[in-house]
Amino acid sequence: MVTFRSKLSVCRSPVNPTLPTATLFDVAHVELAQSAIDQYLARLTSINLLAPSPTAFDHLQAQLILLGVVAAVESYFRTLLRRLITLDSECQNCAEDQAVTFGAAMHLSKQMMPEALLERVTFVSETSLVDALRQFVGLKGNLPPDLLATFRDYAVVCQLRHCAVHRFGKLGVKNAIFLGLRAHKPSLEKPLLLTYPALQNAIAISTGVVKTTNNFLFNEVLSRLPAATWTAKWGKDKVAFIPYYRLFADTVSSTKSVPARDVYNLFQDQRSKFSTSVAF
Amino acid sequence: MVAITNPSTQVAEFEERADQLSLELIDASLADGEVFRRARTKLLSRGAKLLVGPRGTGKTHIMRYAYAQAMREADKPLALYSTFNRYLNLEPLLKKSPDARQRFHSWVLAKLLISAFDWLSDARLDETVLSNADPLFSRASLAQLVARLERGTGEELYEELGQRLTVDHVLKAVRTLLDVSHRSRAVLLLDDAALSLADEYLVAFFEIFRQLKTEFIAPKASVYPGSTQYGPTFHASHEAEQVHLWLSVEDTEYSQIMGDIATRRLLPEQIAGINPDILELLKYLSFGIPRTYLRLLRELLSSRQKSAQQQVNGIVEAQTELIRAEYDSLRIKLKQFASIVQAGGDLFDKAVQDVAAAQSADTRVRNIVLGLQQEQNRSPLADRMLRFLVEVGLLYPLQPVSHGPDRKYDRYIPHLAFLWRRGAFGRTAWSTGLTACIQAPSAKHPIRREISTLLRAEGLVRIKLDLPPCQNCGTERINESQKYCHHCGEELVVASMFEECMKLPLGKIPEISQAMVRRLHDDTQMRTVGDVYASQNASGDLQRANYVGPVRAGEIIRKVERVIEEFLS
Repeated sequence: MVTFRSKLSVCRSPVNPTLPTATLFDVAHVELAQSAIDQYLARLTSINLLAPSPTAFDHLQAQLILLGVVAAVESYFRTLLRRLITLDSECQNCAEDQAVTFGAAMHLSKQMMPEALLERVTFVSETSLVDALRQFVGLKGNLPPDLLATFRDYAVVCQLRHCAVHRFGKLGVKNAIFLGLRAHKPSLEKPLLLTYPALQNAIAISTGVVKTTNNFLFNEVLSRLPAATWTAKWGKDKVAFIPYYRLFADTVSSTKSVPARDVYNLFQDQRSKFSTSVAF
Repeated sequence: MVAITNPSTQVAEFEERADQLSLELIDASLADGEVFRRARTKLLSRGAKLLVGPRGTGKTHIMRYAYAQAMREADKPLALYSTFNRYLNLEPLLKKSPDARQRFHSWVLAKLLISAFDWLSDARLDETVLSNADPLFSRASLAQLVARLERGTGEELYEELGQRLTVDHVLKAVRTLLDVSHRSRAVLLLDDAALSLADEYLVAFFEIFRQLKTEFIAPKASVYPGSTQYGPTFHASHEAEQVHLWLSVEDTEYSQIMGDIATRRLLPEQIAGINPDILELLKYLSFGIPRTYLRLLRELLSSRQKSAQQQVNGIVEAQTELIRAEYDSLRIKLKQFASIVQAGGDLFDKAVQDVAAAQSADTRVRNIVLGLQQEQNRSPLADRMLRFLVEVGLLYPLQPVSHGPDRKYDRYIPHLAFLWRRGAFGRTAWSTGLTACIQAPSAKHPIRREISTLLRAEGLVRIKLDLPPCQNCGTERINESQKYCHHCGEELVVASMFEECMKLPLGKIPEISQAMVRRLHDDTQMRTVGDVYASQNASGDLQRANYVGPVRAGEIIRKVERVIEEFLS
């Protein structure tokens, strides 16, 4: 028996244009050698330039800026972890028994292969961030409280982003539960009105998670390198030190990292203080 | 002319700051008077309270008195005392640590727990009763945590101990002490809680204050006048009763209370040696601030001027300059408010000029009040400007009055020492004119002005924030909370007040001679306040300079510490 199906039109939809996705990506792009944080900061500046003027603020445009910033944070994590896996032998050990798709194995360059490992990983909650660091950097024990605090604050920003991406800014029940149902109950299914200060704060929190992670991981991976790596002579040690420095150094912001040699000297100073049980 | 005879060649040795006095002396030296009696009662009564007064009004004194009284009398509640005057040591964290607020939270809770240990030792009781109550209750670790957080270090201790502290731990400690002391309720005396130079911490502090308010705990915090809101969740008028401690010069008991303060802190022969008219004059010139009154008396007793008038002129001039310098120092401490502080200074000068002119025109009436019209569209920055003047004690706020619809006036008394120096009370009867005016009936209407008439157009333009331009492209910032440049997108750098203080060169400390600074420069690495403050062995490092031994090194360290304390208070 044939079922009745009406053939009415309530809105007109013309023919779909074609979208040649294969031509939409910049194939001439060569991955720059800049550090992950430099990349993030440069992207952030570009996004900030797109932000609505505070004197003619637009809430919807503000949501789009927020999406851009969260994308930049996620890209920071992917870039950093990928390069760490390539550079650091302990990170490589962590990644060794993990599988990538056949397509990635066939077509990605060796350097980009770790990116395929990260495809299933998300960076939107405290748990997912902690898990990613444990899984790919091999961190053990408690993570420092300032790092966890930035993860928690950033997870809140991700909830707002979730509202913006999936619900055109309206607050869903799951988001409200995460943010605290009691305080957010009146806002359920209400649209997000990102103000200028709120957008600035969300961007600052996102940048905070990047900078705190960057500091933490730099210290973590550098400190666990075998003691035999270091001779306490810059001329010999720079071969091992500089790749790590370049991976983490901020060379673009107005509060940029001090030069490699100065950081190296501080590092050796702290190592020698530690070996003689002097507080640093 | 009135002659003064110094009671003896001995220098009057008394301490003006209550935080430097022993509990015994605190106990014996508290002045009576309705304002203080009421404040004492309120401090030990139920319910949250804010003890309001500018510096030197006796907030610390009265809190420590209440502490000693509660310790002594079994029918009083358990009272714990802690001070938060070093909060600005944690200010650099705001610029470099994402979890600065949580660390500040731990610092406050650790200080509260230490106050519980202090209570046990003051009561001569065994501290193990508290240390056995919870694994985190270790006096030594808590003290170390506080010291390290104040120095911006102590990562490990914060991880092990600090981040685990919660308000519940404080409640638990208080309950333990209530059992030990057989008392049913407690008051927490939280001194120096104005936290006026770090808004982020102020909000966090009053969040804790709110949580401490329970059926068996009444928190009491001492704050500066002028503020009415302490963060989004704490509204002073709803959450706590305000107890005003700043004595009005118009109070009928004023002279007696101030006299009482001197009697309790000076030797009778010292007081007897001062002409009564001058004693009376100094009471009013100190403008309700006991600490100022004691300082004026001390300076009078050690003055080497010949005539009494010269003596009083000298010390009052020094006093007004000191207050003015304290006010002006806000421009350095809070650079974003530099123009506003300057505009406030101009407004105050003009107000003094106008009030003094009106008062001197007819000294048969008391005409010392300035009415300032509440404009409909007064900006928050103009309010902030007036608040700075009140916080420092240059303007005494009275209840606003209404002169009809849309004509409400805020009322203030400008500092009497400034009016006196401007000849408001007649030049001829220099020692009695002020006292006579205060006792005269008050004028029917105060001098009425508007901010715009006091400041005029050129002053009004200064009511703006001084925000440094973007360090990258030079574009002016739009507001204080802006974090990224709206023109080039660059992150805006914020300077730390604490770090500004640490950068002060030793040569800028007036009490260290230039010769000493040169020697330190030649023989040591000590250049700035921060070098001395951060040194692991400051005394040893300073002693590398010629003619600097342990005593001189100790003096330099004390002077540096005083500068830090002054800068950050």
